[in-house]
Amino acid sequence: MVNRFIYCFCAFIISISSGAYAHNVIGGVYAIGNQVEGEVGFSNGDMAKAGTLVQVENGNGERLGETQIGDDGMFFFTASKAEDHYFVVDMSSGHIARLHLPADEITLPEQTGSAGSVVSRVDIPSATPALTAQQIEQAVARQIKPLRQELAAYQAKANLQNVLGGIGYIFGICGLGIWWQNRQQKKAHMTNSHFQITTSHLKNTIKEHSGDECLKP
Amino acid sequence: MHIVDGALSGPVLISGAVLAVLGVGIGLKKLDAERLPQVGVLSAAFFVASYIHLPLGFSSVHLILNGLIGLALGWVAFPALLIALLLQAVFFGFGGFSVLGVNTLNIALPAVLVFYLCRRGITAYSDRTAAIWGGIGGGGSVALTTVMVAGSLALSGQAFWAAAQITLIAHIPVILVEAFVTGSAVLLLRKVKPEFLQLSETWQEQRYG
Repeated sequence: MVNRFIYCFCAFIISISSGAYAHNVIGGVYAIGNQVEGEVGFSNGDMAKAGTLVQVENGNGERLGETQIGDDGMFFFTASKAEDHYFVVDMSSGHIARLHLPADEITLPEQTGSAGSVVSRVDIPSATPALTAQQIEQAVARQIKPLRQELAAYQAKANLQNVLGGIGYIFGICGLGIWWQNRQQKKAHMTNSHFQITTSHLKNTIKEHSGDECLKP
Repeated sequence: MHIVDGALSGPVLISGAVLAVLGVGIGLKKLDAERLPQVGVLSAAFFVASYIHLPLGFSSVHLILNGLIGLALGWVAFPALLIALLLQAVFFGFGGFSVLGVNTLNIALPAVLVFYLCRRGITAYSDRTAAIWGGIGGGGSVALTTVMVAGSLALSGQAFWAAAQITLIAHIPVILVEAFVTGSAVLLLRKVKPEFLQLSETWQEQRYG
């Protein structure tokens, strides 16, 4: 009976826990030329839901545009100004990611050059295909993407040292409290006994001098 | 459960901080020096609980324990939870400094309410009744916290019902696990260490002769 209850209980919980909540919001944003690419998710590995609105602002809170989260928590944005970009993603329930892309990471394509701005140098033999700067950046970005993801996850992960450190702090604070309380008690005790000593001393003096002439009526 | 920096508006942050300071003040006034070690242990338990994620289905849950802390400490839950939340913000990056007041209030106030609502229940003569009241306290405090989190978000401009529903539904597994754990903890503590729940000696004599 009890076993069956526990079994049902577990089954029920498993059936409804669909991973809607998690703790920390993590994310990253990177620029390849003026193409901005970012991703947002939770520290437990879930990514932001597709279709979530991404608002783009500059440092003064002015709107620069908006985009939407696509597959795997990724989003794309084409920067038209070389200024600080902030990407604000509200994933509801108080989970807000605010990602910052500094102005100097954005390189706008040169206006005068033709679209694509091919860096075809004269000294490169024609056998090797000319690569645009953008293509190189894209290739490198693709290669280091898993590394960036791993690094972000690692940074968000609390480690054992932190846990032990926190417990140590809590016990330390308690120790301080107990020490303080002890000190107060000791102080109270000291003044109390001091008072007793003075009164007993006074009584003795009165006794000693009770025979004195001047005190007699 | 932790609201992050930047999700709430200024007035909500400030009023949350003021109320949390009031709560901490009352808690410190009621704090009995002899119970300090217990306060520390419960504070540490809360601190660690959110780090230990138990896998459950596709997701993971962690205990919050504010019901148990409330039942054992009453108003003292405020300072105990404030310190734990502060350290969580420092070490784990949960929540943040500007939202510390609101987070403390959202987690500690349900604990205090549970103390007043379920206190009589857990001193009941029958073990079963006490465990059920413990369960109500454990689950109820988490449910109240989710409602307060949704409320804080609503006051900052998010639609209350949508936010409340999402957080409440998402936390149903936590509420059930928490109710189960707190109920069992009350049952065990009554037998093994009644003074942990501030059950007086007269109660112990009445109960166990």
